[in-house]
Amino acid sequence: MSAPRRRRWIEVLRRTAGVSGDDGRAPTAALDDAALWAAHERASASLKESGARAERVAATVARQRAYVEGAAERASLIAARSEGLSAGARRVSESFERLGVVALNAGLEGARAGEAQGRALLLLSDEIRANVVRGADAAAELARAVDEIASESAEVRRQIERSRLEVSEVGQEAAQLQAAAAAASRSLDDLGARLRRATGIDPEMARVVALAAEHARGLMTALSALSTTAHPGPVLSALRPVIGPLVRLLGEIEERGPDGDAGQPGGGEGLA
Amino acid sequence: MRYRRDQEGEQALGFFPVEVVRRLATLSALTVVPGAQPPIAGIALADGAVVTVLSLGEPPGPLAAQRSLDAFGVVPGADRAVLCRVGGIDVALTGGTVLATGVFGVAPDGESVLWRGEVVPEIDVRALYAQAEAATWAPRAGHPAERPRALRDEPPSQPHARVSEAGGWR
Repeated sequence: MSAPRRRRWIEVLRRTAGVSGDDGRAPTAALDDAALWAAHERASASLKESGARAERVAATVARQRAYVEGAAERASLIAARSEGLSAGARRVSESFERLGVVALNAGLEGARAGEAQGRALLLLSDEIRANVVRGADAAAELARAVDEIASESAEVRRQIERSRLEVSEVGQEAAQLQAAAAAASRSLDDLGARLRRATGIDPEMARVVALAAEHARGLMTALSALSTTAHPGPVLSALRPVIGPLVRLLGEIEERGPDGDAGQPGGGEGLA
Repeated sequence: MRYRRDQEGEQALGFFPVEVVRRLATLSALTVVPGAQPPIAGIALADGAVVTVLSLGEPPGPLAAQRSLDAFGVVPGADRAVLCRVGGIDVALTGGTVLATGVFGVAPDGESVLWRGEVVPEIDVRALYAQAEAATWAPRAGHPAERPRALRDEPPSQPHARVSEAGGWR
């Protein structure tokens, strides 16, 4: 362990142990620093997740935009086709109208020719008239259906147009979300740098300090419980191989103080 | 032919004899003639020839509506003008719907025809044209125009003998 790092460790342990450091900060400041770094870590992880989700939203919106564009193009084709069908239905109706006039005029000519000579023409006229009426009815029904399709396709086009606007707005929102996530990430990095300067520790050290503090509290609780038992001797003897190095390490820390030299083997390595 | 008999919109049937009626035709370039009185609607082109257009009144209604109401079906194009020839003059009659063409039986009165059980009187185109001319010239002579007799309920004063009839109008 390098000297500066060791010094930082000692300082952190001193503060954790309730001893004021050179900076005069409160004894619990190290734990607060660890909590700050933990919060920073959580915020950083959440921000990364948010950024990834924003990117996925933007990609989905881009795909949706492509789909909507395709749907709009198809709706335009359907509308154009409907107009063509409407024109075709009108032409069919006009043809039936002309054919109806022809049938009526054929009846006139049949009557002019006389009942005997014009019989064939009269029969033909009647037959054509009957078929013209049926055909015209069918053409009118077809025209109504085509008009309904045209009306529906126009409504579909309007809705697609509204969807296109909505998708565009969502795309802009997603882009702004991405930009906000990037800005937040930069701000969090800046916050991390300032936190590092303010606390003197990095996130890894903060995690270890929090862990050590937690273990220390547990150890203290257990030892306190042992001290109340009638015969703690055998138990303490069993714990001695573990506690011995810890006591020696704490002693070294006490002896060296914050300026202890580097390269000393001992429990410090175990803590790191 | 079916047409409106009067201002109230009561509908009536009438027929044209085959000696008078020529054919159904599409009119174009209808032009209103200044000073012309009803039933003259103006002049128009029918198959390239200029004809006088006589109106029997407002049409009985949209052809589609008539078709939906008529159980026998009205042929598309039945609201075209009926081209007639009276005294060597071509006139076109508008404002009615042709329901049938062909040979019809003579009614008991000898003047009308029977169409689907109904007695259908003749539309006297000659009298109608004469009344139209009179209506046009009467104001200039200081007499009020009279309604054409051909659209009244009385039979025409000059009955036409016929064996077969054509151009049944309602």
